[in-house]
Amino acid sequence: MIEFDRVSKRYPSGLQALRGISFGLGRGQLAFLTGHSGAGKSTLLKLIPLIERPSGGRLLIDGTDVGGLPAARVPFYRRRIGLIFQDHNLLFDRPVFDNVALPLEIAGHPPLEIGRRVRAALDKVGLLDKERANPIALSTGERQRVGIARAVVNRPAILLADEPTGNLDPDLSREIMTLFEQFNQIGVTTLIATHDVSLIGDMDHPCIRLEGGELR
Amino acid sequence: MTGGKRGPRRHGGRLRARLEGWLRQHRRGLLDSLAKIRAALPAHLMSAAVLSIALALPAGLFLVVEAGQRLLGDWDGPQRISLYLTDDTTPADARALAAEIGQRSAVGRVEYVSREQALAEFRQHAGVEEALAVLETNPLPITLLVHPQGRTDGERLTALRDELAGLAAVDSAQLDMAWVERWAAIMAALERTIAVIALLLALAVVFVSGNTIRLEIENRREEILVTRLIGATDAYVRRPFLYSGALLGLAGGLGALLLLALAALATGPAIDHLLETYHLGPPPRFFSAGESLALLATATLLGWLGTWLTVQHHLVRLEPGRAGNSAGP
Repeated sequence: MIEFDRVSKRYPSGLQALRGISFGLGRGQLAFLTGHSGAGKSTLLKLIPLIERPSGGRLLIDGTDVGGLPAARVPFYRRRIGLIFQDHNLLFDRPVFDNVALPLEIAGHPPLEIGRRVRAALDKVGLLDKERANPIALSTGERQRVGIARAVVNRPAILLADEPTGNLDPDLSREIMTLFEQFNQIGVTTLIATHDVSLIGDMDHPCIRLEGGELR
Repeated sequence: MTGGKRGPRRHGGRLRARLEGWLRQHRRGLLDSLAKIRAALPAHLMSAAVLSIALALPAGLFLVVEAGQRLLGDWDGPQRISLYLTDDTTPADARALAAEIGQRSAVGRVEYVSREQALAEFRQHAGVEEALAVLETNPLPITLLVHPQGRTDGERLTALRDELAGLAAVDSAQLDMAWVERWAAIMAALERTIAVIALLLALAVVFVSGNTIRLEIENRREEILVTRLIGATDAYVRRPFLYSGALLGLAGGLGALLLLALAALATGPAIDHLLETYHLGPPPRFFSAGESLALLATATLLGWLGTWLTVQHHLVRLEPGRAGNSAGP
């Protein structure tokens, strides 16, 4: 599903963030991406939704090299990918429901379907009773779960998470990871960047280790 | 990602679904824009007021010039020379002279205006009644109104005037044309000036609406970045702003019409009185329904254009992954 073939990334500033990265993640697999901060985890994750473009090598998603995808097609491509951020990137000017509904509204789904799918996603993350609440009134863990609901509401083929447990205590982190495993079990290819080695140690998933922009 | 059966029989349904989706996106864009306008109502009202004034100025000048040209149009018809005869000319002599002048090839028709007729007409002018009462006799001479044969240019008319002025019974000959030409020149110059002012103010409208929307974009920066990360197209991001800009322009147009209507009410009586006093044509009129619509459409279009330019410029900057845009994994 995701295949990096000698991918490198050099920023215009001259910083070489990634060097000759090659790995593959099959459909429905879950893998962790670890490494110290500055090792290139964020850059690697940014390449998949084309927030950054690779400067060398081939990036194959579902068998297609997306490195040169025209800008006009990028939005449609991104709709197949669910993104989860450490700071959850929720919009505080609207309730939880509207935040989760955003990807469906962008894709132009009919309101009835939006309602059905948003509630299903909120139910999945255990926040069905908070749909009218403003995200600002939620706890950090709850906000992260709203972010996850928003990422999966469009039934993406790929789920990417950048330090999703960065601000959470161990119990909440465990809970979030379990959620990811559940989505992975229904066939979503999942890549989670984290530096929390103790958390993933007792989970049975492959681990991609980055160090100084290279695979270890 | 979800594939569906695409048979020929499903095409009608798919087209319908796409149309519905398109309408839904536009309704969302409009509602979104209305919500954002309401959230920052004072700023938007202020901008709309500025636009109103910027639009009302050239539109009002247009009305003034148009009224002036209609006066000119009224005078254009009777292209004529007034011959004021000497006091000792008798009505019989005058009629004979009129018949004689009427024979000339350059002359189409001669109107005879007796002293009494002239006085009666003069009395209609406001305020002259008292002045006339002081005089014991009718001070007005017999007048012959000479209409040239067909329409003729100013030069030939002037020549005819000079010729008629040489007649013994003619005290003075006046060509109404000189006035008309001068007036036409003034109007033409004014028209040109207004075109330039209108152009400058149209630019002002574009910049004001663009700037208002720029502030709105800054306020919604985070939202734009997030929506782009989850697959918003340029059109999706642009839509609510374009609606805001167009609505702002429309509000400016409506404001301009309101301002002009108020100005017309305030100046109307004075202008009517002026026109009546000088026996000038009908009072200036307000915009017709069609012209009002054209003004509103222009205002809307200018607001939209200003927004489009701004959004186009800012969309490029608000791309996740560009320096300074923090949203993103």
